[in-house]
Amino acid sequence: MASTPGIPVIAIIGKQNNPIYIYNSRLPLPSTSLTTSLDLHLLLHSTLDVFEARLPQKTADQDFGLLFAIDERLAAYGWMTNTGVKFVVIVDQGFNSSSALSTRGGGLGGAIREADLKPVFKSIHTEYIKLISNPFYDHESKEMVKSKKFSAALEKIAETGIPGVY
Amino acid sequence: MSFEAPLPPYNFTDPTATFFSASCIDLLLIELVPLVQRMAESAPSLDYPIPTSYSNKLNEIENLPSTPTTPGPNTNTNSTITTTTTTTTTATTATAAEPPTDEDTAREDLFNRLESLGYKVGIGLVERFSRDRSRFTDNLDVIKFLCKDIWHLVFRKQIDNLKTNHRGVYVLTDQFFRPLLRMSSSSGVPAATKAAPFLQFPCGVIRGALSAMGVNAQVSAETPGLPGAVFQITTVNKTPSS
Repeated sequence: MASTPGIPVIAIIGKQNNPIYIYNSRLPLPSTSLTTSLDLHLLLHSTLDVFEARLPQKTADQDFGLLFAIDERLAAYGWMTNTGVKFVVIVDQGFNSSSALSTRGGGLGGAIREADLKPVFKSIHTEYIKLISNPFYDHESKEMVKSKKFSAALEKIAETGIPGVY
Repeated sequence: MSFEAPLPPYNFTDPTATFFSASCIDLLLIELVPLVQRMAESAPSLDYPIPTSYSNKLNEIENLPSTPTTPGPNTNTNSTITTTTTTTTTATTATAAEPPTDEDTAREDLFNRLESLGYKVGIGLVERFSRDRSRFTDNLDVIKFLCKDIWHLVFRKQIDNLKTNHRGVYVLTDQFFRPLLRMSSSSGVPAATKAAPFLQFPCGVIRGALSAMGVNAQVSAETPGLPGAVFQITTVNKTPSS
């Protein structure tokens, strides 16, 4: 597990910056700065500023790439759909990040290219579309989503991890 | 869902893409109005509780088939007849008790129901079909997407004419509007009133689509002559808030 870049957190944030769904698998993450759910919420709040700051320059696509690095292991990547819904994926590069740093010689995030996250975000988007296509889904609701199917789908995405990176 | 198979790479991102007969949606859109009308008649509004007398009668009817004296099919027909009569009586008593605007409120209720159905459809459509599109830059871009892509998805043609005063009002004209295509009427004036409920669902689709793209708008529709429809969109805010 530790050798593969994993996805410990997937967050779906609505148009009005309301949390729609937050998936976190292995909180608290040992030896990182992400230990409590309060840390996680603070972190997700701070991603919103990055989205807002970059929005004027983003005219072409929906991929916001690396939002910021959290520490040596974790980094936050973002995606905003045309309808203003934001997806945030936190990537855990595990213990091999030091070796990745040495081989690639890059800074943090050197082991993962931004394009690697695209299929992950696409599948999250597909699941989100399935969720809101449910006729019983309440678009006006301010509550977080409690859908077993959606949770299971996101869990599967998180467990699959980033295809092509190992 | 879509009418025509999109270009080959659609399977790459969308394993759930499905296709359906074009007549299906025509029939559905036509049948939707009488269906909602019947729903509005039988349960006046979802917000209000069902009147106790009515629910009591419903209970009686549910209990009816359990009486062993009469044979099964007969009781069934009896019960259905009683349901229809009770609904009509309650409806007539309601109209008698209330001021003459009751018909208007019923019509408004019907319109609201149809519109809110369309609203949800519009939101879903945009989420699904704006996925692989570039970001919308301004309101006109959003309206163009609506006229070209969404209209083509739902009604299999693009809007014929788009006019704007550049101050947030857009007028969309469709000369041969799909849901009205098979309608005809002997005289001119009642046709517009009769066709009005059939325009509410599309209005809702437009409003839902726009609100999903961050444009709050009011949408109204009318038909100048039968297969044609004119939609007026009045946007509330100036820029998309996406």
